[in-house]
Amino acid sequence: MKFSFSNIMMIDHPFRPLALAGSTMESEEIVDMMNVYGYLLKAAERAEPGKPVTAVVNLFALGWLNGVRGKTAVNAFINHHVNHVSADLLRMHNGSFIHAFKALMAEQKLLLLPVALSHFPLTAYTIKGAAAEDLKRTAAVWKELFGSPPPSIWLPRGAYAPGLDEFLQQEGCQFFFLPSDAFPSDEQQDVQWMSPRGLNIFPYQFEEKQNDKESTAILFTLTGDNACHRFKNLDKERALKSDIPSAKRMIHFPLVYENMNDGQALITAEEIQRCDLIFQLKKEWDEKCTSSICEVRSVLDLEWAYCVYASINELEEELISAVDSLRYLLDGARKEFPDLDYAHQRMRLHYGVTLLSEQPIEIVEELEGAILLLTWEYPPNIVGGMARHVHGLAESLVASGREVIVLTASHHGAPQHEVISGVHIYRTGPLHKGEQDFLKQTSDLNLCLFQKGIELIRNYDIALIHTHDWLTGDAAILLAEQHQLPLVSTIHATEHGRNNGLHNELQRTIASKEKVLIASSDTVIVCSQPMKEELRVFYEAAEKDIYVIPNGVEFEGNVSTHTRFSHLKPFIFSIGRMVFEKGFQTFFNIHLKNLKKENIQFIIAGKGPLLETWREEVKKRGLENKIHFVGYVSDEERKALFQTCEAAVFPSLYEPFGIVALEAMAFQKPVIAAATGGLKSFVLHKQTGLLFEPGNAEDLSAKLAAILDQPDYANELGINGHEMAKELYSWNHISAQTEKVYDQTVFIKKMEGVRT
Amino acid sequence: MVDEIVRLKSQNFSWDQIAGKLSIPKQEVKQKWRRFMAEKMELDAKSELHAVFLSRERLYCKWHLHPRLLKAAFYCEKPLNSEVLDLRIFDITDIYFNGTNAHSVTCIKINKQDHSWTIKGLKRNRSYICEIGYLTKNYIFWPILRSHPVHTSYERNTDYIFKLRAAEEFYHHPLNGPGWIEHPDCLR
Repeated sequence: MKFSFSNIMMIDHPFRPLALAGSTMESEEIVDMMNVYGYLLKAAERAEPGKPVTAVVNLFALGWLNGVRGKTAVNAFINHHVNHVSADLLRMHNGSFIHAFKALMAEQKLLLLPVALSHFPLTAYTIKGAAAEDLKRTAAVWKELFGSPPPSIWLPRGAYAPGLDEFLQQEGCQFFFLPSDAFPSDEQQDVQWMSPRGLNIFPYQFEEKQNDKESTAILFTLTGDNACHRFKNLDKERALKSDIPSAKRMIHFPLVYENMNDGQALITAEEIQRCDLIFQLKKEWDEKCTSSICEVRSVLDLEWAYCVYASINELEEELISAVDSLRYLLDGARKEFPDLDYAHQRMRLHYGVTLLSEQPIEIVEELEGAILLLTWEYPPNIVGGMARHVHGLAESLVASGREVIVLTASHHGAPQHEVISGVHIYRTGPLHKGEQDFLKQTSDLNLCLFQKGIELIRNYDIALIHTHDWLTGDAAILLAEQHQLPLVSTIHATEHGRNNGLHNELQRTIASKEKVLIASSDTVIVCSQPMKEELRVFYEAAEKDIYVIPNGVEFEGNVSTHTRFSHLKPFIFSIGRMVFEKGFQTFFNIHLKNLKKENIQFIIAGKGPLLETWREEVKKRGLENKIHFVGYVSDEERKALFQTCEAAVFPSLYEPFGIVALEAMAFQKPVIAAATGGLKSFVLHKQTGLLFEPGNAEDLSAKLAAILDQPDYANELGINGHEMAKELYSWNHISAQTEKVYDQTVFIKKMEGVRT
Repeated sequence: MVDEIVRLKSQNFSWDQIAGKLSIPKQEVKQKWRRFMAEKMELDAKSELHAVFLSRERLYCKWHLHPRLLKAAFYCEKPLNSEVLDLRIFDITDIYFNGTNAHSVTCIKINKQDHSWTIKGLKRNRSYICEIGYLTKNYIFWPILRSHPVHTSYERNTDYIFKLRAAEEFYHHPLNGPGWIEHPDCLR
């Protein structure tokens, strides 16, 4: 494709996720964002195909719009502002800016160019390799959002040194832009400039310095305020030129940046010094943590890039929060214990990308053929969580186009073979259902599964076997060995963990079976980082490829609603460690009298150093019949409490993550949360819950009243919250990650074949 | 004060609690702690010297000299004054710099505690390299660290003509390498 440019829109609106997180439908932050990108959409829609509107965009903002948080906000916005300029177009694309952009790009009505992610001048990094990495990261985010390499990457402040063209080329770029005053002024007409590595270079100048040289693109700066006006006059401002210069000329520049020939500075020493602390952080993880960090490497990388962005743009509050987040992940990684749940949440909420492909493998071939899933239980046979897990996984793998065969134990009333939602389900064994010896029964079942498995491998083109826990391990190992198939096993729990050690012969036998399964598997999947540690320490799996795919929040259908607290209904529920920063002391000062529902109770669960202090405080204030610090509650009780409460309140003064609020959302309960850190990122005020000022009891009382007095409204918030939690921890997400593990396993297995 | 903050922090006190105990603003607590951690980290960092352009005639030099490296240097060659270091900028345009053949050299006396310096008055279209070191007892410059080379911008927009041939050659025969100084990330 040949390019020529006359007008370029530079979207210059700072990306401030914290401000966006705390925003409502009317707040400036979201309105500006919607205006800038909304008018861009509209202008592109009106453009003639082949004469696209060209815009330089901030990939952090685009990623955010692509994330769970952004999509919810956009949808809420267009529902609220029905007549907004972009509302119709966005509705056509389910509220997804990225889809809308993609459609317009396919029609050649829009050309988007990303700015190098951190917005830091690429010639001014005082850390080796950072410029090349910045470009690489930019291209990676772009590729994930748009599925192809970026046509170009905009150089922050127009700063260029020779060699940057090589990095741009490596990322698949075809051209780039440089300030026009660096080019020889009388030779500009009809020349297509080219870098020594063969990339086209287009000169640009700022609109205020426009001198009507026809061959130079004009750069217009767009902010939230002027977006509307700008795009209206887009056509009038300058006619598109149609002829493309034919003569190519090579040009080498030692150094270029905007306004250089006016004697202006590229950057100040203060600006570099401001970013210095951030640069230091990078050194820390490059040198100290290598292996443990590789799984969260991409999130660390993005956090770091955002820290640089916030630092150079002087977004102080955002910087503090991003540095805290980076530090937290880094500290975890240094102790070989990164919080992967948090990392994934951060990626999906904040950055809107996963960047999983950044693993050090060359080409992973797409897996062809069916997946054979072995499981001890499968619906309608539900004993524990595994049935639900395998069921969810199987159906969403089918939804993404895989052929899936489930092989499981027979169950009274369920047929030997059936197809449900595209999943083939085969049921067989054990022969002696009444066998009292558990191990014998399991061996019996495995032999049955093995025999059926041979038949299935004969009839289907099976590419990989995936087993869940040791219960079906023997059959899986035998089938994989005899048919040279790759074996993946998911370890949901271990015998060692279930019993807090191995105390008898049965437990030891089971543990040894688990060890054999782990050793025989090509790859192992676990649901949490602690689980991975456990395998490494107690199951001699230090050398294994272990992948963590978090299960996230559980969406329990049937939870028993009866607990030892049932007599306290109706109640507000809260849970957390009994420490100061969880803010439970805020409850003491709420205006109980003002709450119309006067019989409302407060149940606060959790252990911690302040438990007794707060219990005494309750007594001192005579609130024993209102506020109940109930201490530790079991898993079942916790679920029941979430299920039966009127609303869940999280009054934390400091809360980096707040996954527990997501859990409440999974139970469709209205959430009232303090507007702090992680909570703000998914509790969207008046959309997926209510926010109040941390520590402000009066504000909390008002929000409680709002929920208790308007059951319909409370219900609506609960439903919206549920949607968001589902989106964050959906099976699609989990199956997509599992598929990547499959591809990886097949690839490794093939490489082994090459070696032997 | 910092010691106290670090001690409380290591006992898992929150920022608010520490601020309360020491009765200083939270922001200040955080700042002090961060500065301390940054300094602590500095001790482990690698020694290096960077030079980046602030403008067409200003170069910003930033270095980290590990105390161990400095100690080793002092061991090899006794310094004239152990508190004063020498930052030197050499004009190395079109030569293979060997330490003695620079077209010109500028010397800047810096304090041992300094970490950065801005050099002004660079000429256009010249190549420079920086070194940090000190004067020995014999008044001879003894280098410890060297930066990557940099090249300043053209004097006139038409100066590209002088490199046109080299650019074309590189385009056709990239394996021979470019005939100019490139971005430091290109150095392998």
